[in-house]
Amino acid sequence: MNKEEQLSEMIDTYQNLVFSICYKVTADYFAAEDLTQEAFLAAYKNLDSFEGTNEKAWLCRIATNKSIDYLRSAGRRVVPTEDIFFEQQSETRSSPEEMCLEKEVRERLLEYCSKLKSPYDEIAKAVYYDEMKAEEIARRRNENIKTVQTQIYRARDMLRKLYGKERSA
Amino acid sequence: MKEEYGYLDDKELQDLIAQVENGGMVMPPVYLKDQIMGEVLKAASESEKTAPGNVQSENNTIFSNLEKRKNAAKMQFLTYSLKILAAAAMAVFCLTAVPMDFSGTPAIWKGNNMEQRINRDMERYEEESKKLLDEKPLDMKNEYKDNLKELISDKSEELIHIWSDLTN
Repeated sequence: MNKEEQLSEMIDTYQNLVFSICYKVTADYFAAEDLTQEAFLAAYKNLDSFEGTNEKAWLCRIATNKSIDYLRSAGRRVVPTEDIFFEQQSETRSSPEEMCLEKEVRERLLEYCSKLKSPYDEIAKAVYYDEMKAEEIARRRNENIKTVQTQIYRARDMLRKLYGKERSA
Repeated sequence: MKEEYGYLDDKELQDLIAQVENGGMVMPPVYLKDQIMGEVLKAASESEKTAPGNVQSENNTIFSNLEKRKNAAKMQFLTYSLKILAAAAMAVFCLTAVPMDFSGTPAIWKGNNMEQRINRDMERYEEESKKLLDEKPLDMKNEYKDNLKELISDKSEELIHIWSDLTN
C-alpha cells in the first residue's frame, strides 16, 4: 500500500474524530475544517517516521496540537489546560437535552447559511446542511460545475467571516 | 512541555478522545477528503519535479516559484507598456497623416459662409438681370434672359463645386 492509499484509509477512518476534536477545541466550524486538513497533511508527511503503535492517538495528538497553536495565534489568552478546558466545554452546553453536538452544529450552520445573499445561501445550505457534492448541486441547478465550485468557495469565505465576527463579538 | 506550550499530555488526550467519541461527533464537510487528497497529489507532483527529500530541494522549489512569479509580473508589465506605446504611436500617426485645419474657423461655419455667398450672388444676378431685361426690347429680352440664365447656372455650379471641395 503506498502513502496516498494509506492516507485515504486514515481519512475514511478518522476524519469524523479529527474534525470533531478540532471543532471541540476551536468551536469554529471552518477553522476545524482547515485544521483537519493540516493535521492529515502533517500525518502524510510524517507517515514514514510513524512507528505504527497507535495511529488514532497519533493523529489526534497532531490535531489537538494544531488546534491549540491556532488558538494561540488567534490571540486567545487562555490556552486550554485540563481543568479549564473541560469546564468551559461543559458550560457551553445549556442543558442535558441539548447535548447532541451534531444537531447543534448543523442548526447553527443552517442559521448562518440563511444569512448569506442569494444564491450563496442555497449553495451553502446544499453543501453544509444537505451534504451534497458540487457535481450533484450543479446537476440539480443545471449549472456549470466550475460555477458551482466558485460559488461554494465564496459561500465558505462568507461563512468563515460570519463565524469570525461572532467569535470576536 | 505542558506548562510551556499548553499542549495536552497523554492522559488528557485520551480523555478528550473518549469525550468526543461518546459525546457525539460532528460531520465534516463532504468535500473535505477530496480537498485533502487534492493537496497531497499536488504536493506529490511538485516534489517529483525537484530532488526528493531534502531541505535544499524544498528551498529550490520555493525559489523557483518566486522566480516564476517575478517573470510573470515582468511579462505583464512589458505587455502593458507595449500597448501604451502602440496607442501613443497611433495617436501621433493620426495627427500627422490626417490633414487638419488649425486656423480656428470651424468647418461648419465655412459651409454656412459659402452658402450665404452663393445666395447673395444669386440674388445679385437676378437683380441685375431684371434691370437689364426692363431696359431691352422683348425679343432681345428673351435672348438675353436665356443667356443670363445660362450664366447664372454656370456661376452657381462653380460656386457649388468650390463649396463641396472645401467641405470634403
